[in-house]
Amino acid sequence: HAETTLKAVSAFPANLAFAQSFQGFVELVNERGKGVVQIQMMGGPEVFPPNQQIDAVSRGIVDMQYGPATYSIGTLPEAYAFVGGTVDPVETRKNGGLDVMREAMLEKLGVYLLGRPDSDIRFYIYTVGEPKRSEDGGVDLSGMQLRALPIYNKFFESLGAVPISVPVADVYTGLERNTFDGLGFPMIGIRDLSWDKFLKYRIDPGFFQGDLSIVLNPESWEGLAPEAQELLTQAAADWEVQSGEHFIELAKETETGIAEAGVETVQLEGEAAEKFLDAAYETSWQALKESGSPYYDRLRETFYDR
Amino acid sequence: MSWQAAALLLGGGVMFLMALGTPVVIAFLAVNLIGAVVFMGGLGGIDQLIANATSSITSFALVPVPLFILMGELLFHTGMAVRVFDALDKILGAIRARLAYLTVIGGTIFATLSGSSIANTAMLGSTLMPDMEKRGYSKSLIMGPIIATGSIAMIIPPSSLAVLLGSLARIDVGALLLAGVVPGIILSVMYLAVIRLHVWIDPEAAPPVSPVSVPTREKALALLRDVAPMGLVIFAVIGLIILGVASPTESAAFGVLAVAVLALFYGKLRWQAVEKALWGTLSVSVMMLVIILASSTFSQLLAFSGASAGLVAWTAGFELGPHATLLAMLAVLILLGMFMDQLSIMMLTLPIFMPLIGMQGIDPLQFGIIMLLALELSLATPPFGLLLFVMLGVAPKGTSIWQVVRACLPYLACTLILILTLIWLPGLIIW
Amino acid sequence: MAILGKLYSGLIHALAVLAVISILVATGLILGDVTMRYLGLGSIRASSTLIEYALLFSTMLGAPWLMRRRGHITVTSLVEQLPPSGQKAAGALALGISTVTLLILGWRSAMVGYDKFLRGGADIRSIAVPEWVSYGILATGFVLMGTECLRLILQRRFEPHGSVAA
Ligand code: NA
Ligand code: NA
Repeated sequence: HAETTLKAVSAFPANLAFAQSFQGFVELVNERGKGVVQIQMMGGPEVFPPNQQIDAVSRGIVDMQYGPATYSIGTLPEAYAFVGGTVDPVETRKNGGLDVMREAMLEKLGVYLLGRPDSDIRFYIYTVGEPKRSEDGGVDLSGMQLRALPIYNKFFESLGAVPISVPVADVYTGLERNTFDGLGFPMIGIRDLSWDKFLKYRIDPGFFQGDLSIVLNPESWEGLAPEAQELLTQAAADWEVQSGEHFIELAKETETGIAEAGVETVQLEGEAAEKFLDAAYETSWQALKESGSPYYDRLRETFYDR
Repeated sequence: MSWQAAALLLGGGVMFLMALGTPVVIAFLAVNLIGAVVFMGGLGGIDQLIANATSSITSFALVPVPLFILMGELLFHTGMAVRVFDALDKILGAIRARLAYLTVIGGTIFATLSGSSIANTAMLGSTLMPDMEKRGYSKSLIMGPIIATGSIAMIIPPSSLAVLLGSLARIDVGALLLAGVVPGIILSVMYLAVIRLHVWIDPEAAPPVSPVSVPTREKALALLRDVAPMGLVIFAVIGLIILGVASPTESAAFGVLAVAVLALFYGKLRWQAVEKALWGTLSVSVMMLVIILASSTFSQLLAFSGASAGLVAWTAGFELGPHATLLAMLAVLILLGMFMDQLSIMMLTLPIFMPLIGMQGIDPLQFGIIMLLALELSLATPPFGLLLFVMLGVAPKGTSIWQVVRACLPYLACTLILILTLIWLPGLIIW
Repeated sequence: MAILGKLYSGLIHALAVLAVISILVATGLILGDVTMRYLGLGSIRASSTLIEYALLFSTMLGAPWLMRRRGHITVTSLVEQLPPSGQKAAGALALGISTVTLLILGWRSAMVGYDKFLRGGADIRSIAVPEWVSYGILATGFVLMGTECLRLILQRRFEPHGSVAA
């Protein structure tokens, strides 16, 4: 076997934190894989629209992709196990969870799951006005209109809020003019779009887990030398750990940064916090169950330990 | 294939097919087809191309395009636009080419409420063009100011493009939006000067003004009866945004509603006028959106083939000082802008430009405004300039794309002069 | 044959009427959605998705109609420099390329759409839309645009055309 070059795309523009994390993985592989396997970055959303990239991999137009698995949630309801999961990547490699997900992605999307880096991110609800507190110490968001992605809808509704869909480009003006009352977003990246200028409250604890995955075209994967397969698998496992640490660091920095900028933390304690998180995670598993996925039991067992 | 060869195949292919008389949209589609087979490989490549196309126009950000066109068509076909211009004609009195000035002033005001240059140009074009045509203005004096002023919409806030640029380039969005105000106003003043110069050089371009003096009473009446009620339309679009009732994208629908209500009130909402407005809207918006669909997939192919990245990396390879760096970036943006859409240009160039900006110690805000202005320019540069196509969509039959380009040239020069000023003397414009 | 031709023309026109209606529906949905939100009645969950699809719908269903009206932008200034025989040849070549391009795109859109239909995936936005829908709309638009070009070839109408005359 000679050196193989894999063409890769990412769902994010090259200068965003997530894309840079993938760039780190690419550099790691290219460093270790000299003479065995190399990754060539073909670009980001300017090359394929993010929600069409997985299809590009399964068609074999590119060999590798990095992006949120929930972009394919309409075909792969199993991606709910990523966001609704609580078990870290090191553990899901050991307990067989990754293999179950790999099986599901191969069947539903026609791609081979290599790894799930950057999983250690949390999502938060940010609001413009102060959220009302309920008697039991939780939050009562009834009547609030929150910008939501489809994966949050059920959770937000369970808190009494009305999830609305607002295109990214309209969010800034919408917040500025108070067209809606808040939104859900990861800690990392909230400042990239300057939304923190108008969001004055952040509800803690954060919920969910990252849904980012690295996938390969199955034939490209099978065509690799065993040595190259091992190298990629090891690099992915290592990167899951390294990127996790990096993102925890980045989240801490962002948390301090927005707190200094005047974003107040609405801290839920004890039972109220548990109840809040239960609602978040349960809505994901509920959605997966309702989809009738045959992988539900195995995923619940390996990805969820609350 | 080298990036130069890829660029030649794709760019050259589109230009050849356009020259052959193939409709612009099909020229893009045909080259996409060939490019998909060559770069992505066989039927799978074509299928991917189609998959990309399904995502291209199912985007909420494009909603104002048909809606503002509908608003303009309704204003025109119900005859309300004519009344407004007649009244303003009376009020402004004996200024030659006043409708051209009015285009710039009205268009600039409109820019403060619309974030989309395409929608703004479509609105100005479908509202003003037919009237000025009827009054005997020369084509260049009609089309130049409309395209030029239309494109200010993305410089003066609100601007969805500035928000995207700010977030992609990690430039403070609020500061970037604010920084657009002064250059936007300077541009519109420059445009007024160009018009003055135009009628001075070629008095035939605008019809002579009637020497008849209109009594003040009549002026006031015209103002009250024909112009003031238009405040309802302005409120529907601008006011609802400021009050936080509707987003800038949504408010276009209220503009349509306001025009319909006014027309009803004036007794002009006849079925015949509405029908004409609807077909006119369909024809202009289909023409534009189908080109956006075809050209956005073309941009993706250009990026995938490595042609655009090759060009950008090539310029970045020279080690230049801050001024020369900005100039080189400008050249790249102008070149890419001939063929690609704005969002793709940003996603492609920013990852390479931003580190250079940092290395050279260039103020990101200065760069941001220059980039916005260069992107504005790209809307009116051939062969692929969306505003050129919008203009052609509303212009009378027999208008050629070269006439439109020629009409724009002096205004494009204004933007270029402003960009060059910003490169050397940013302090003049950004504080 | 004549009846078939009438049916076909009727189809092109009917789809254009649908295209206009979808623009109006999109307008109405925005008005309704914003009003409800303002009154604190929540929001029409489906509206943003329906509006986004209405854009694709009105564009692709209106495109064959615009083709018939020869309203798609065309640069004819260069071709018109040619002698009449050259113009005819260029027109025939342009129409031939157009027909082949559009029919291939229509065919592949239909095939991918059929594949998506069998797999049963969905495009999840504010509501879920079956994935085959957008491919089906593209297939309809491309095929009918292609047959419009084919019609011009069969009628031997090779003269330069388009909304841009000179
Ligand atoms: Na604006
Ligand atoms: Na251009």
